[in-house]
Amino acid sequence: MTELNVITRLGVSRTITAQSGLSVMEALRDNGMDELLALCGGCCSCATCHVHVDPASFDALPTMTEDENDLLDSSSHRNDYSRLSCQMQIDDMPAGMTVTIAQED
Amino acid sequence: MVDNKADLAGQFLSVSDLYDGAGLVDPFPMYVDLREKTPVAEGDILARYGAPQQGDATQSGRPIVTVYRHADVAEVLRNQVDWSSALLMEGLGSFLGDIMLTGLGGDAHRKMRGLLQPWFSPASLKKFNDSVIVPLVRDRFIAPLYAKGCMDLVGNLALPYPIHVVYGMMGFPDDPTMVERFAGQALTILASLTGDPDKLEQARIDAFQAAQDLYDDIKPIIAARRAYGAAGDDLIAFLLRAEFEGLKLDDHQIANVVRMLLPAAAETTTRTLANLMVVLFAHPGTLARVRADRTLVPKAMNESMRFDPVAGYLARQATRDVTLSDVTIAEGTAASVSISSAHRDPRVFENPDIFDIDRPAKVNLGFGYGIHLCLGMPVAKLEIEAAVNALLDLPNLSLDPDMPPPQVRGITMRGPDAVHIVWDA
Repeated sequence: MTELNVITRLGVSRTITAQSGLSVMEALRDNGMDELLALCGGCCSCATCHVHVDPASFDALPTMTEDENDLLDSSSHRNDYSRLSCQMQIDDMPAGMTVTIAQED
Repeated sequence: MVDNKADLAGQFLSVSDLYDGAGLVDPFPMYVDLREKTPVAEGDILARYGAPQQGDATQSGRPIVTVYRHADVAEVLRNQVDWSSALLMEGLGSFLGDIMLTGLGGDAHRKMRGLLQPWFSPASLKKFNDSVIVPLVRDRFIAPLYAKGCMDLVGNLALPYPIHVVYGMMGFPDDPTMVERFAGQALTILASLTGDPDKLEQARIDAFQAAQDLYDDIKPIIAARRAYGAAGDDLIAFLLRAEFEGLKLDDHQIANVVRMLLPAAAETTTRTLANLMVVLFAHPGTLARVRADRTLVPKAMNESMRFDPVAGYLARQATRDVTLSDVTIAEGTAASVSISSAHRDPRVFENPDIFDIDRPAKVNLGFGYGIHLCLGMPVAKLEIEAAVNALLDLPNLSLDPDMPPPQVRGITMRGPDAVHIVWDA
């Protein structure tokens, strides 16, 4: 079990415990973060699980694939710290990572 | 021979009739037992109701199961390794060409979807909201009827409006007669499907002819656009310029892409908009809330798609032996997955038979799920939101008390034939 800090769209901070083996998206959903739509279910086919990662953790994450990069391009809310939460694994996450759920497109 | 000038309303009703399920109006109670007692059942329920089967379009006798629980339906749609969509190529794919996205998998799908995705992103589509979508619904469809104070929401708005939006965004010439003819042809392809073994051979000939006619009409438009220089934000211009990992499309391929999108692009939105308004009229308290607070429109749309989804069934084929709800399904078996049933599964949705726009968002399979999630979803959402907002602006909008109440019908592709509404003009 790992702890993950989450900031919701309304700016509320929460710390959730995430199970090893899950994606960040799955951990968020398992913790009832329903505002994260994740419409395609985690196969990198939409951009509805978009989050912003805190800058310190961002560089410690494995790099994104071209497909993820292309999908993020389709969001109006992309910034330098954007990731799709379905493409990040809890096991790869640096300790103390914070994700902010991006505004809906 | 298929009638090329087949009228739109007639073709729409033909599609509804195909999936009518012998007059089935409320299929949801029967799913309670099926979901609990036979979550993975032998045979395709669509065949039992005489509807066309996606899981065995040529009626070859392939083994097939129907899947009723939310977790199993989501698994089939999401797990592209164990479940292939290639069998869709035997049905619509055999008419719509070998680049039909829903029937592709692996790298071929990834490349074609990657090529199309940028145009379909919500950010890229927003510009069409002000330039095409809102003006069409308000000025072309509602304003001319405003003084009359009444309309059939299906025939006057929900059927023609998405067609004109989609054809406008695709970059077809603004010629209403031509657009409706193309839309009629696209519906003819859908209406040519059949669940009746005796009609299968002729139906396939008709569908193939309708698809060929549509292709023959689209191809010269593509060629003319290319000759003109491929400028603009529309889909055809985008496809003329698009490149993804070395993939570029020629006129033949673009005509195929456009033709593939047309049958998916219009009447699904027609039914979704109509079903949403029907369920809102049936819940006056919710209707009043949504009218007063338009930020609730997307929630109402999502809940309506959960409560009574238009695309009630999808199909996949097992690529190896797979187990769902403790039932082993042999490699090669098709699964007809019931989104209609999954959306009433109490394991996921508390009080599933209640229409409740405040319920927590759970996995909604109404636009599909997994790599084949509806590519046009952001277009549909913009169209429906614009139409609902325009309708709710009509003073004192209600169902017409002098006309028969609307009736949503069918085992899948559910929708009403007509929704008569009135307002204070």
